[in-house]
Formats: sequence, structure tokens, C-alpha cells
Amino acid sequence: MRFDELIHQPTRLKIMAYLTGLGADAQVEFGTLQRELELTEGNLSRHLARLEKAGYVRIEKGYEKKRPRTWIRLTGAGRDALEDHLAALEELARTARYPGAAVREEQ
Amino acid sequence: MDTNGFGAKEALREASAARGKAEKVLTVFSGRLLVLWGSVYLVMYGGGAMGWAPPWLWLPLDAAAFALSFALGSRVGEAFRTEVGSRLRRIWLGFGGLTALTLLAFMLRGTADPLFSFVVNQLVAFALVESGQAMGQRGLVRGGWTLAVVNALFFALWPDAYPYALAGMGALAVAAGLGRVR
Repeated sequence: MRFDELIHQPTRLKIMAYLTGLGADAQVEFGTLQRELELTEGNLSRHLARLEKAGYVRIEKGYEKKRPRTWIRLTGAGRDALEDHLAALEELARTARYPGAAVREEQ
Repeated sequence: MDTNGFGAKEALREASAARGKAEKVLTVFSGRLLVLWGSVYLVMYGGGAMGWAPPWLWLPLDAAAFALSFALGSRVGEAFRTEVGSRLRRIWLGFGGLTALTLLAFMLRGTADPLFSFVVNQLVAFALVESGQAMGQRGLVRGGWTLAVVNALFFALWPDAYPYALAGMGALAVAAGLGRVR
């Protein structure tokens, strides 16, 4: 369980969660991801670049019906990091709801 | 902890919404196909039995529905590359091939309805069961089995009511499809 500052940024969290929802080894086309998450091209590019640098997503460029396409997929490290981050968030939400729980567990 | 004013609860809610949106992609696609083909069954079997839809309408209506299904599948395929999507493509290509072979064999042997309808509907039922298993959607699996059982029972025991039973299955498919699309 690890709180990840990089993933916690709202847009990056949505990107990561969306990619997880597609299932293992699934890829989404850049324009589709942009439309689905209602982001601008520049905004999505910037956040994807940071996630790629961290090794959380893989970006592949290619052609489909002679048109250039960019495909995005979540890596294994990205999936693990997101799961860890969500577990940390759940723990935070739980302790916020029951403030005494964390103290009792520490004892 | 609260980073950039983005609290834990809100973050979990946003993540869940984004994940749900992605998980719905294939569900919505299958819903659209159910509405499309359910409508074809409803119009042709129901309308045919009541004399509203002439038999010659089957061919252009089926061709149009196949073209629309192909266009829908192609659009999803251009946007997403998933293992489930690849399996669905294989299942429905197999269905298309088997149906074409069946049609050819029946034409060469001069086999007419209702045997042709019975065989094609069993193939549709099998494709639905396979698709449901590929997508992990029990509703689609149950729908496929229901179609297979209704198709066999009415064909064998109540042939006069066969078109009405298939029209009923079409109405069920439309209702199930609308539930997925919403």
C-alpha cells in the first residue's frame, strides 16, 4: 500500500483508472481516450508523457488504414502502482470516517 | 492527506467512474447489437406472421443489419484493442462463415423455411453463448441458451406458433439491449 503523488493528480488518476477498466493488455487509441475523459490534446499528451516516464503506461505509434494512430496501454508496473494507490486512498478514507480506527490499530 | 484539494473519497469516486466508463465499452457495443438484431427478429417474424412484412424483405434487411453490425464492430476495433474484442471478432467471423456455408448448402439442396430459419437461429444462439462467455456476461449466455431452447421447442412441437415465439425473442433482445445501452 503506497500513496503515489504522481498518480494522485486528478487527470492522471482518471487515465490510469480508465486503462485498468479496459482489462489486461488492452490498448486505447489516443483520440478515443481524449474524448472519453473529455481532455484537450495537449493536456492528455502532457500527462501521458509523465506516466510513460514513470513506466506506468506504454505509448505505441503506428498506422491504421494508412492513418497515423497512437495507442496507449497500462504496464504491469502501472497496474500495481494504481492498485497500491487505491488501497492507500481507501485506508485514508476509512480513517477519515472512523478516526479512532488508525489509533487502535497502532496500539 | 489531501493533495491539490483532491481528497481520498473524491479520488476513489473519480477512479471508480473512469474505470466503470471503460468497462462499459463492450457492454454498450453488445447492447447495440442486441437492439439491432432483436428489431430484425421482431419486424420480420412478428410482421411476417401478421402479413405486414413480405418474405423478400428478409434479404435486404439482413444485409443492412450485417453492414451496420460490421460498421459498429469496426468503429470499436479502431478505438480499442482488447483480448475480448479479438475473441468476439473471431466468434462472429466464424458465425458469418458458417451461416454462408449453410445458406449455400440449403440453396443447392433446395431446402426452404422453416428448416433454414431453425438452423440459422441455432447458430445465432451459439454465437451469443460464446460471446457471453468471452465477455463474462451471464445475461448474454442465458439469452443464447433461451433462444436455442425456444427455437428447438417451437420448431418441433408448436410450428404454427414458431414465428410468434421468435418475434417474442426479438422483443426480449431489444429490451435487454436497451438496458445495456443506457
